[in-house]
Amino acid sequence: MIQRIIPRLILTALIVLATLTLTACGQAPPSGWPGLTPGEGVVYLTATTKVYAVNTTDGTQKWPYEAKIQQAGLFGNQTVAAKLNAPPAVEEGVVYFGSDEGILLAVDAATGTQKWEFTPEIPTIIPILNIKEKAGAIFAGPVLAGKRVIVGTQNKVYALDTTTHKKPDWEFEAGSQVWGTPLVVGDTVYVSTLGHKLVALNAETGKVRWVLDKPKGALAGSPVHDNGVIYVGSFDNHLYAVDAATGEQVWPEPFDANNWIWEGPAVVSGTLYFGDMSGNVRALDAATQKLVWSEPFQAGGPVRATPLYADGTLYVGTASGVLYALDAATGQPRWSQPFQVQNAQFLTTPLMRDGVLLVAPLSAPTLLYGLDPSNGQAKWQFNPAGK
Amino acid sequence: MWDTLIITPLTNLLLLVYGLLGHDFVIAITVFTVLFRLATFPLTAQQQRSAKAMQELQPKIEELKKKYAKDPQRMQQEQWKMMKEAGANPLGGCLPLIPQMVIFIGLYQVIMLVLAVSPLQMLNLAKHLQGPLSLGVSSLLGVPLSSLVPLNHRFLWLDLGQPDPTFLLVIVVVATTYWQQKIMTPPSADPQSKSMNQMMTLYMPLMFGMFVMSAPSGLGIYWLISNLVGVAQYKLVGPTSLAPATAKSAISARTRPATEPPAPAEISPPAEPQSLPSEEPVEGEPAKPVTYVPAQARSGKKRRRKK
Repeated sequence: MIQRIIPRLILTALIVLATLTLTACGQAPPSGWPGLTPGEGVVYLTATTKVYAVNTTDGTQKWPYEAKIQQAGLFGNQTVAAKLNAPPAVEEGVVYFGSDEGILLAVDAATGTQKWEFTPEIPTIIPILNIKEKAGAIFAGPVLAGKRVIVGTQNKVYALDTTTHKKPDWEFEAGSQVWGTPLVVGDTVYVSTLGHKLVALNAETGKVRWVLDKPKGALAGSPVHDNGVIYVGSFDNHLYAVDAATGEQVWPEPFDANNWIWEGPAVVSGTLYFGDMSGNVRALDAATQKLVWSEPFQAGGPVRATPLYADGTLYVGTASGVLYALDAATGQPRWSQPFQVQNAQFLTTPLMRDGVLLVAPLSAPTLLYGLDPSNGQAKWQFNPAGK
Repeated sequence: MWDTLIITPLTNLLLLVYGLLGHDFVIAITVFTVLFRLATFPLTAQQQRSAKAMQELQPKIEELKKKYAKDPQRMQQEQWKMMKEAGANPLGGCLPLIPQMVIFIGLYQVIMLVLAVSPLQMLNLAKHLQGPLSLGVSSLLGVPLSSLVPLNHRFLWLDLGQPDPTFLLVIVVVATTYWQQKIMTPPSADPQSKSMNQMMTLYMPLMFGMFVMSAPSGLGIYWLISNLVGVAQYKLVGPTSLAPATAKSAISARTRPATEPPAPAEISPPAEPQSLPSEEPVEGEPAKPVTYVPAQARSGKKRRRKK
């Protein structure tokens, strides 16, 4: 009898273990990286499930905000914490940010209390059972255009009145996902899509002004504007420069980096600074398309984010967890700071505020570092979990 | 090491198939699964054959255990001898599983990787495309890999990067896993093995059902296709190739003229209990007749005796 029961028990235990392992394997991994946006004396940080207002001088927390949302589960609706991976936008005392669950939230910038939220309409798959599609995640940061907040989701762009915020003033069917924060210049909104297109929209009506469909790869980053030209990187390994008014390409041929360019460049006095996914960082003359440095700087890991330029220095973070300060004129490193934290990655553009270099690594217990820009040494650390 | 040898090549291969076959993930994964099944077929067949032979020997092993209960060393010797004669190897069922499992786990990871429905997943995918890109290979067989991502992850009502909200896929995966388990599990005369097999046939589909419930539906589609391809493979070539040759078929294959159609590979065991003389009686113990011997194990022995 026992001889029969024991193998059954072992088999059952193995099956239960395998089920749990497989179910855990099926869970969604983290979807994005922290977002950083400057405010008055504070920086707003979105990380995992919270938004934090952090004082830039000493790294103390002003307030945290955790968005609780209702989500349909196997056994009915349940309250969960929204996952936040989109950088926030701040305007007139309100912080706006999107969640992985497709909800746009507005929070009071002074107190961290929620003002309102907007959930886009989700298509129904089986009407009789009221089964709906999963809402498209918001990975792109919102942007303000006058009285409207504009946000890109999985395949749509919404313009929402910040005062009424119940129904979008207009919607644009992007046809594919929008991961880059849209850019607003005057009355035009520039939207890059994973469907290989850069689209210029009328900010008032959402009507298309022009479309650049030359890229052969996804445009995952945000477009950048300088002097009437829009710059955008692509997964087809090229950096494109197009006339902001007409959408015509400015350069005879887009610049070929020989690897994915995720984010747009930092533009300073006609020079474009950008990195690619092979780790090369370049300085390019926007007018002549000639390289400014004698050779690209090899950062040793993918450079996803736009570098930060401040006082003649270029700050570049890599996906392999190293932060560099480069001489913007020559591309020579001034210092480098390898972060000794397991799996730490720098995927967010750093900020400079009040003489402090702010960097937000991914996968580190410390969510935000305040560094001395002259040597990369930490002045303070923001670690709300206290580990 | 794992990434270099398994993940990166499989990722690029899957993207290549996707690019060549009209940018349809489901078609790509179907072709990929068929290729995977074909490539691992010799291992699958070997593993199934060995498992089947081991199961058929179970009653005899039980007899040996009883017979040599007081002499475990002798019991082991006899057991090895018997297995050797029957062409069964206890490791034969497990060893071919190892490379299969390696590729299977790799494939699972690759599917999760290429679906890349979030920025962080896309970043991970980029690292695996770095190899070809850093070598200046921006396209394979004329397919520009970089332009393929993100993959088109819509199929019917499904977003392949998200779990199926309707649970229809879960039901279909459970049903096809059960079907595959049911037809591919060899019948066993041993009550304990039989009961274990029944448990596996019931639990495996439920286990996969629970997994598919929370996993991206692209993985569920992969399971579904893998099950259907497995069943089709078994129906087309499995039963014949998996069955060990019987004495009769082995002999007749040697003597049959080339033009004569082949004899059936399997011979049903007679319904009534058979007896076979014990191998070597142990000193001091009367030789006990074995009450039941499965046809294939028995015929394997006969074949060797005729040699």
